[in-house]
Amino acid sequence: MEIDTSAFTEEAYELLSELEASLLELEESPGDQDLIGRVFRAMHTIKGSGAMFGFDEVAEFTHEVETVFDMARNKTILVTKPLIDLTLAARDQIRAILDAAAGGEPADKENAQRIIQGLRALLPGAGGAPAAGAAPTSKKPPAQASEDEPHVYRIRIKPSPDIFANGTNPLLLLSELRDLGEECQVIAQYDKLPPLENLDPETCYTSWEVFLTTQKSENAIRDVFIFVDDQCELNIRLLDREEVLGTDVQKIGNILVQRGDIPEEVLEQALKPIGDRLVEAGAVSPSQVKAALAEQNAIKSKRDKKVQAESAASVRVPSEKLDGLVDLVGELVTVQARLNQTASNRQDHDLQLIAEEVERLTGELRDNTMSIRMLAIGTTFNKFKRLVRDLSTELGKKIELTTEGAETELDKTVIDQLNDPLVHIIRNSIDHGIETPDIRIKNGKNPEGLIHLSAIHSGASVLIRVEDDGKGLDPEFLTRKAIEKGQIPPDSQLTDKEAFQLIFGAGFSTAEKITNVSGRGVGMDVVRKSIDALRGSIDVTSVLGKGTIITLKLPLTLAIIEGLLVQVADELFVLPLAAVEECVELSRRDVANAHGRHVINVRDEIVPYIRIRDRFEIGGTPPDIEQIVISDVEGKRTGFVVDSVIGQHQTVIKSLGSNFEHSEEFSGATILGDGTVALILDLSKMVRYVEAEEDLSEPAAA
Amino acid sequence: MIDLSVDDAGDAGTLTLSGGITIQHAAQLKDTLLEGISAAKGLVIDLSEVDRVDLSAIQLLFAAHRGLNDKGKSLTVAGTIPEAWHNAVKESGYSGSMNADDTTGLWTGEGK
Repeated sequence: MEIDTSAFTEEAYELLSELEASLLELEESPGDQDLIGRVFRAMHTIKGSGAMFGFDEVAEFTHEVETVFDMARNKTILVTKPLIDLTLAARDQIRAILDAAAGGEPADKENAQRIIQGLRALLPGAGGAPAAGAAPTSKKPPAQASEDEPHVYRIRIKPSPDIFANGTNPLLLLSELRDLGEECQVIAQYDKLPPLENLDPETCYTSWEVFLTTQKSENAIRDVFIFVDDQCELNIRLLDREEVLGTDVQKIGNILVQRGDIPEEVLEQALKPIGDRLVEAGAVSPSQVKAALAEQNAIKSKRDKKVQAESAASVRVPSEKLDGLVDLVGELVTVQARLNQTASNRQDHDLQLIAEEVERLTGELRDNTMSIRMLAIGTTFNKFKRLVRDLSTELGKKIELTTEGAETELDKTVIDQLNDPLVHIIRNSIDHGIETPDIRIKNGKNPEGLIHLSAIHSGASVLIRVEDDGKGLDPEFLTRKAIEKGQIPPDSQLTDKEAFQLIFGAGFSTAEKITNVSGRGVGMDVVRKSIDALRGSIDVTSVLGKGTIITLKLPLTLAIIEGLLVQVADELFVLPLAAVEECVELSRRDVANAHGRHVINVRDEIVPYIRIRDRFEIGGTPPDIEQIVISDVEGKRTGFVVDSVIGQHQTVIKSLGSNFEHSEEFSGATILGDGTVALILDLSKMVRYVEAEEDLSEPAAA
Repeated sequence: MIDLSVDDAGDAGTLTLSGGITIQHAAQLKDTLLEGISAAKGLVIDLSEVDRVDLSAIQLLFAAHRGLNDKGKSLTVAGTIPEAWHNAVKESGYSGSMNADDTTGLWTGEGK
């Protein structure tokens, strides 16, 4: 049978990122026993479930690493940088093995060998594998606060016959088990013990059945046997409440059979349901028994349900199912808008009441559904700790990464797509932003650079800020570079803000030399593309010599946006409200004053505009007074001229079919309350197209 | 230390154990036990000076005790049974293993 391993790999990936985070924290406070415990447990779980799902390569490799970390846990070896480095490398190796299993490139086995050898070299008496007999008497079981109620485990331990020869004292293992819980019952199984004459005094004939009541997890129990893994058959089972509360007769009976004291048939006879025996004895009638049984069943099923409810506290769901739900909620929002409109058109009071109720419920449903898709950005932040650590070491810089607002929640899709752009930005900060320690000291700065990563909510958007205290951006230098490369006309006069935006141009690089890290001129333009795709915007501020702040403004979700509904003739369009700054009027006189140029003077500031009517060749005569929606497009204020502004609109985004995939000026469509379709404008793409066309037409006109 | 003396009549063999009875002495203990069981009608065992006991000793003495019972011979205890023995019985889960056949108090796993 094909085993579904996706649950394992998913869990393993999560554990790996936890492992990484713990390791990085551990590097900062190497003595923290809790952290060491966390690392160990993560590794242990990967090993355990890996073996369970047939990922033997993972299990074997992890076992080696875990063994070394166990030494650290027992304070046999110290947590040192080499240990952390190797364990991080091991973590990557595990990931590679997992990726390989999922159809990726095969993992580098030699690398695994190197890591293991490196780890072994850290052991006392370097090079040797740990002796199996090093009974960990001083080992403290890891504290696990996750389970509050004590569980009863049945643990069957069957040591291999030659366990004494390896120097293991099974009694120590048992007493360690006993220390794990409040109550521990050890029952020896000695039916294999031969008569004295045939007994080999150095063979272990005893096996055990242990009933342990403990709050600890199964892993904590397995931990006890960690050094004798291959010398012990271990079978751990969590007994559920019924079994624990169940009759003692059965347990004793089982043990008796196992001991060979009574044959199984005798036990069966003795274990005949009590009802049957009572009927045989004439004490009750069969129907009374039946009724009692029914009552018992009812109680049982009730208890089962309760147990189920407890275990269902958290559910793992494939994200496609969630996407489906979001789609449906989107449809519902659309229908609800129609219902509202119909109700108000008919002036039917009852219908309006219902429509309002539906509106309230739909709103809650929408918010709830959206919140299910929300994830804290913290996991993404954690990944960057590793990035900063590795890169700064590589470049010989000292950089500390601090984070803030890790709990800020964003749509899962946004988070997934945010990773790469953030990597580029942080790489840039490390490579170009932060100076080497000697230069920093020369400039009177702390030799250790700082990168601060923060996330905060701001209305329907999230602001993600990457702040460094490096050398900052020089607007003049940027302008000069761009002119050299012919990316802007030679006589360009750019504001600082415009100059900063140049770093997002394709092929733009200011790095004097190309490093492994960045400087190839790819990167920041990719960042802009990704952020565009997320309907977000990028803002750069920088003070020369002091540092740079790059702020990403991202919508909370990609499925629904706040839009501004506008009208041009009979056509309706939606502009993303996040970008809209203000609306001003455009009269005939304003147009005449501009002498044919598409600009308007707003409070002494010249703002260029695009006429949507002309752009999309919509016919008809514009009204005497048109509206300009002024939006922030890549740091530049740009106006969009429309006939009228209708108002704010909860926009459920529908993607356009493949027929429209070349219409890049639209990022999607939405269905309005009355069933009509409005196109959603992609403002930055529009601006870029218009600029490109003007550049083409200008030389011809000159 | 393992010391066995059998009286001239061959009625009782006295096995005196002291110090640690562990895996190192297991082979010797087995031979001595076999010798004692075959030489005498009953075995008297003195554990009072024992301070360390491991599973190998428990297994051996349990097998010896069971063997004696099966053969209708007796096993008696001389002197007090030390805590070390009781603890080992308890830890190894051999408490109560001899059931009603245990008149010696060796297999209770509890000190007096």
